[in-house]
Amino acid sequence: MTMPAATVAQRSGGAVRRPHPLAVFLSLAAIFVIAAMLAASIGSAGIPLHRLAAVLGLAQSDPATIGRDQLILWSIRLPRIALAAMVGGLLAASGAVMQGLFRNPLADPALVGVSGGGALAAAVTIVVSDRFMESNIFAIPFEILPVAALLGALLATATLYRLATREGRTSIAIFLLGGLAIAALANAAIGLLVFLADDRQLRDITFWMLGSLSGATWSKAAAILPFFLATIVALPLVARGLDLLVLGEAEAFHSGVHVERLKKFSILLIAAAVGAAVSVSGVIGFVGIVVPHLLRIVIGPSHRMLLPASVVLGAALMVGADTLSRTLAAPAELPIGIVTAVIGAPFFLVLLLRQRMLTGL
Amino acid sequence: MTAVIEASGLTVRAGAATLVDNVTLTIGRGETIALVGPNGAGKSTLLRALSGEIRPTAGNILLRKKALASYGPRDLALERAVLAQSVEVAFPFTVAEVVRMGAGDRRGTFVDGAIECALRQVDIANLRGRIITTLSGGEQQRAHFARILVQLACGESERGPGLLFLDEPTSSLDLRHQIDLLATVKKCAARGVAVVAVLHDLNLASMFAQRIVMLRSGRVAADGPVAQTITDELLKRVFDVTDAVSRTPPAGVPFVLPHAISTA
Repeated sequence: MTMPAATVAQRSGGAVRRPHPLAVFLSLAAIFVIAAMLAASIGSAGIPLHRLAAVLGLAQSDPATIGRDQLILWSIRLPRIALAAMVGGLLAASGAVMQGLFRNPLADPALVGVSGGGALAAAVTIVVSDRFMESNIFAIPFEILPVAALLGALLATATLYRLATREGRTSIAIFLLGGLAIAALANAAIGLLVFLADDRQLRDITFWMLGSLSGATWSKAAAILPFFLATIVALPLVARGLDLLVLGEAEAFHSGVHVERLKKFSILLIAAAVGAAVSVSGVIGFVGIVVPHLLRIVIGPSHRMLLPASVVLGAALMVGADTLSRTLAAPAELPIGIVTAVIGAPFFLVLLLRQRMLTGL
Repeated sequence: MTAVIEASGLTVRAGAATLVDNVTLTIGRGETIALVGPNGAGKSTLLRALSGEIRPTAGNILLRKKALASYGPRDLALERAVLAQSVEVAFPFTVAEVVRMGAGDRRGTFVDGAIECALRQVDIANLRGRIITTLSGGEQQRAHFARILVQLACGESERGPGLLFLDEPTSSLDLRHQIDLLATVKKCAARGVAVVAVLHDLNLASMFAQRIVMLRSGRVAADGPVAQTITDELLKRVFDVTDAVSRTPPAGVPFVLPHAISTA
């Protein structure tokens, strides 16, 4: 018996209405703008909202504060907002794609070791390049970290897919447990690197393990911008296929989807998005679960809407979470991974219990 | 009769087991074929090979005189539709959204019309806004049948009548909807769609199909019109049952032979 046991309430429940796409995107855009404005305004050196408008040239500026405000906004707040928005968008979108690919709402790149694979590759790159180049810390070209993280994430995703899928069927248990094993393995390897690393390398590696957006610069933002744009362009290409893949691989094929191509492309997309995010922010969990799931409740599960909406809401959520991480323990900074885990982990448990009720996982 | 599919020497092996063994079969335009046989006879495997889902180990399959393997998935989806035994939808899509999946990424009034028509044909128009996983197994199966009808209609508008493969389409349906489904399928066949259905119920198979293909151990045991294939002798050989045809059961045991009621 594969049919989920529907409750009486669900069975007698009426028709579902989906909101209009335009209303969805206007609301999401508004949420993002509000989150970004709060992030720009709140902090150890605050810029009240009326002065924020002045810095952006939208209101009369006060010569006494404009110089300071401009400096804070342009060199500290805005690069950080840009970085947080791109990382959040990438993580949420890759979560949504991964859930579609594995046909399971519990998939999250951080949870199942994809982010860990990326972080490990980045850590290896730091230590190895440092050992062989024997020069100052700036010798690690920042651009190669996203590429290394991408390769690590790619290897983890592909391995996971190989493990969990046999003859077109993906085992949820093997997927989650295999992902756990990959995550643990990546963590152990990072631990080994920590053991071997010198003080300077250690600082950099610790950054990947905790997940943080501190130290955001325009050059970091520029390093992942190509990945962000490529992801935005690629999302519509997988949306139709992922929509049909919810029927199962055989049915998707019968409906005209080149399933093997879709799977390979999706894996590459997930790896690129996660790799880029991990390379600038470390491992940040649960964004990829929380955002798509909230959106499915409101706008429905169709990937045509879900994928772009996830980018926007993921961006807003990450900007908000980063603001919290900066301010909750000010003047110290909480690692953002802790903030997202505190929000996301209970959420994940609720989701897990619901799924057990429905399908007997 | 124009041949839509010509399969020759079709063999499918999985490891040491031979699931389909040297099957030669021609399917003509507008034909209704019931694929019957005991469990493990290779019916579903033959269906999967003919629909292009699995590559045969040996043998040739031609779809409209062109090698089946040379069709891409998108192209193939315009030529044939497949209704699987059971489909699990992974996310909370509504019935209308699932039925629309049959149209792929096509939009427009033709698609909207085809969806409306399909929803009415399978009698689930009133459930269109419901989340599909909250419906009963039979209702879900009907929704997927509607999706298949939309796919068939879209393909037909571009390529003409195509092929319809059904794998035990009636297994979760009540009597009335079993008959309704087969009547709808027959209407498709009347338009020129070639239909191949795996059926377990020989009564339904006899009512529905012009031609019965009987499989046993991966081989074609019989292939012909109903009158020549649903016989005591063949059923004994293929299904290991005796005196199966046209015998009323002992007194006191009810015998159900459903016929469609006239709704006019």
